[in-house]
Amino acid sequence: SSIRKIGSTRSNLNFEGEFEGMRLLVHNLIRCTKACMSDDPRLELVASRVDPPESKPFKKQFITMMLPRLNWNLFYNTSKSLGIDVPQQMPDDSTTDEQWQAIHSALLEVNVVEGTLTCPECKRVFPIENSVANMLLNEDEV
Amino acid sequence: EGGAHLEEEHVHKVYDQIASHFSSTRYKPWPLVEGFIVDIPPDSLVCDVGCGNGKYLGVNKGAHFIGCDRSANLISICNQRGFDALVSDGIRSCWKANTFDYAICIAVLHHFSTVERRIAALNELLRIVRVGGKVLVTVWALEQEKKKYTEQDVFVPWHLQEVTPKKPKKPQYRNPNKKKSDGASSADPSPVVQSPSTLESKAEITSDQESSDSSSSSSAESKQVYQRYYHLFKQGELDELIGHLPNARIEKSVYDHENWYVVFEKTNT
Repeated sequence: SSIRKIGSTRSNLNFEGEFEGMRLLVHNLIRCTKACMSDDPRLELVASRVDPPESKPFKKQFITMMLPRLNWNLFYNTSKSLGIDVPQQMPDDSTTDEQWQAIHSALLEVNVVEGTLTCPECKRVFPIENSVANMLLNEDEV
Repeated sequence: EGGAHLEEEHVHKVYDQIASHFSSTRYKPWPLVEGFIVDIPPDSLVCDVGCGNGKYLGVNKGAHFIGCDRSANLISICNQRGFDALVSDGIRSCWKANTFDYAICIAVLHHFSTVERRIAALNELLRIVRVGGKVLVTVWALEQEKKKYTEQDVFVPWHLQEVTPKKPKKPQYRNPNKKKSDGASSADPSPVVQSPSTLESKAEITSDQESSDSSSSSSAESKQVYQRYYHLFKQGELDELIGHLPNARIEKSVYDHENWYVVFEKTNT
């Protein structure tokens, strides 16, 4: 069995087993900690490691309630970069079951274990290491 | 200068060092908090600010909880349990405005060392919930049943014990009305909450009980003692801080098990 060491800053814990990283729902709810881009806040997610997605129960009602909070364009582009084809428009009555499954899988199942989150405005890079996304600013940035 | 530096030394560094041990003592949800969580409607989006080891993230499986905390080690534990969680600050968080239906902030605000920082943290909680959204904050009270604190700003020791981190069981949904012992000490039948004078485990010893509980402390070789900073809240103090925010309306404010428990609503942006 492989013991994964957490390599970030000052941690020194060793765990066996799997970690679940950042899901695209969470990615869509965050913005640069410096509060950049007040009109269209977003971070660009680049994944260097995506573990096999954890299966989650499909809840259409929940996804429907999330829609007003989502930047669909960001979700569409990020899903595409991870190899998942979701509809380019938000789901409606004409959306097929297969399309809903793709949306569900991209939003709630696939997760990024290693990667970066970059602010398009200030270019600040926030790391995702061993599933942990670190959105803290350094002392000199605060 | 107090503020961020004091908190770095006596809150953040401490929790990161004690994460495994701390997590192993945080398994009993507090009935009043658990009741609030269970009442949250299905499909709601909830942020747990200062989520620690994710103790509350799985209580209400119908709602979607996302946690954030300052400690990378504690967030790792959350991720290992299958929860959505990331490392973020309570005053300058990463969340977009008007995102969540609810926010909870359990036993966190008492770690902020100035009035301005406490208000800033409350402001941030309001910012991240939608208009009409609700926030639950709990803090340790100055007024205690067992121990008489005279000073509001105190250091509470944590005696670190080595704990081998093992994969925690995925938390099961529990009926909060059913009293269930999680394999904790059978000598502790009452609901266990985080408070200065309640022992959650033999490992957490307040300075008051150090002398009287020598039997529990001698059984474990404690390698290090960490001092955690707390600001204990007087009656009405938390309500008064919330009163500084122009768009907050207090819905409930009670004392329970040596904590102040306040729910407030965001009235406009």
